[in-house]
Amino acid sequence: MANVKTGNGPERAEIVKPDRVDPRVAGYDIIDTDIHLLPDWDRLREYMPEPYRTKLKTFPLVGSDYNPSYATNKPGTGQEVFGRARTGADVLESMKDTGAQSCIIVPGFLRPQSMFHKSWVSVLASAYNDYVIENVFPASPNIKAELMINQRIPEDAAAEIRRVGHHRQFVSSYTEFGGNYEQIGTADHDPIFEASLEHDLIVTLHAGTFWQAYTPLHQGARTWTELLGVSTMAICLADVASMIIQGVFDKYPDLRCTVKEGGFWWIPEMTLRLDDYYLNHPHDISLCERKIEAGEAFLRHLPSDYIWEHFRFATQPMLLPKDPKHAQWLWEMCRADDMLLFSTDWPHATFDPPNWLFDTGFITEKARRKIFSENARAWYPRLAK
Amino acid sequence: MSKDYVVGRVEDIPDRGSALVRAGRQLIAVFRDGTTFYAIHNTCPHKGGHMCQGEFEPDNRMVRCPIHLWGWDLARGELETDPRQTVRTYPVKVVDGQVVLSA
Repeated sequence: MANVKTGNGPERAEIVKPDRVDPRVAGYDIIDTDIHLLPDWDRLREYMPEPYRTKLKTFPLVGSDYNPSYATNKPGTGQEVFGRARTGADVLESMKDTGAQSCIIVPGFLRPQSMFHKSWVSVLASAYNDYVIENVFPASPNIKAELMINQRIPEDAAAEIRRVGHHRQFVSSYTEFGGNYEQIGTADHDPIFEASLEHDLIVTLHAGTFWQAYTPLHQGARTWTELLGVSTMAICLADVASMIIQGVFDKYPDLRCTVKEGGFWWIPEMTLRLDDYYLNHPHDISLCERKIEAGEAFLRHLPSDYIWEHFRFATQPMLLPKDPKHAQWLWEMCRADDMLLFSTDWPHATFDPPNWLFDTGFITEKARRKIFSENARAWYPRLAK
Repeated sequence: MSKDYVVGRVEDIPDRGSALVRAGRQLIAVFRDGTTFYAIHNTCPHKGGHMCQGEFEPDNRMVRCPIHLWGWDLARGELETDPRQTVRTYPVKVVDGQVVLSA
């Protein structure tokens, strides 16, 4: 609105309301690949069989949760800072904060793998998926979801994928990296990969499980900054490496994985090291179960090749060096135009609004469109238009 | 070169509160603590949060961005924990009961 002159004196400024989302996102097709759903526990119990429905009156948690509110000035673990989506209508409302028209909802909110009794995770997974089908998907075909599974019992996980994986609004199978359980790359997890491939599902690796008092690194981090900032990334990197080095993608060459909340600028260092160390002692690989089974001694490609072929990375948290030249080098080394999928992590304290896609000078219009949605549509079979 | 803008009367901005102001092409968050006013660029340089929706701490002369709670000194524009990082602030004065911003 034009300013109004006040005679010959100063112009009049206008008091306005702030935009809910950056107006520059208007006109873009945006898929937010990481927003979190937290149904009420009592509503989830309705989808459980007896005796769980009656007995599990509260979420059977994981022991003592790490509570960082002393450091963050936000309640709890900061997971409901910008709201809480319980239903499909809530999810649609949340997208007004992110600018997205489509989204992939993540069940990581409940730290589902972390219940003491691991068979309960299978019960929760089924209840959650049925809840999503009945209470979230009907709100819009633009709401997609990750299918909750029990990664600690891979046979149960595969059975769950086969039970509900036919539903086209599920686009991936959800696993967590937190270091508490076996690496996702071990052969024990093959049933998850097989069932996911049968249903055109991506496999997600999302930060999780570490909300317990200890991260497994060094008998526990001492600060929230180390835990959230670095431990997650280190564990993520190790889980990605486990999939590559233990031959997941030689056995399942069509398998695709999306990494969320574990970072990605580590790709150059990680691929350099993996390639070099692998070439220093390639026979290390030949003793992995999948290589024994296939009668192969080596990987079919260099470790770095698998990163570009089999992984994509959700953007939150997007952090770039202040020197634009350095930021652009990093961007190019990680082939970010093609490797990144837009995400916000709504409603967590680590929420990433889409501003950075406009404020980073070297991001081209073409790259912006790819990251906002085109990369995701090319990556997820069930997001293809 | 900056020029003056009349934001409104003192009481148009809530005491110990804030208002978002469009001055020319700029969006500026104006904060009021009694008869003292501060003005700061509305966009947090960290992740683009609206400063006008941040937590105003008049006693510390600070606003915390609503997204990740980064604390900015409203007079100097410096980040609480790393003063090398700054955001633009603007002079504000009261003239005949009117809040006047130079931007």
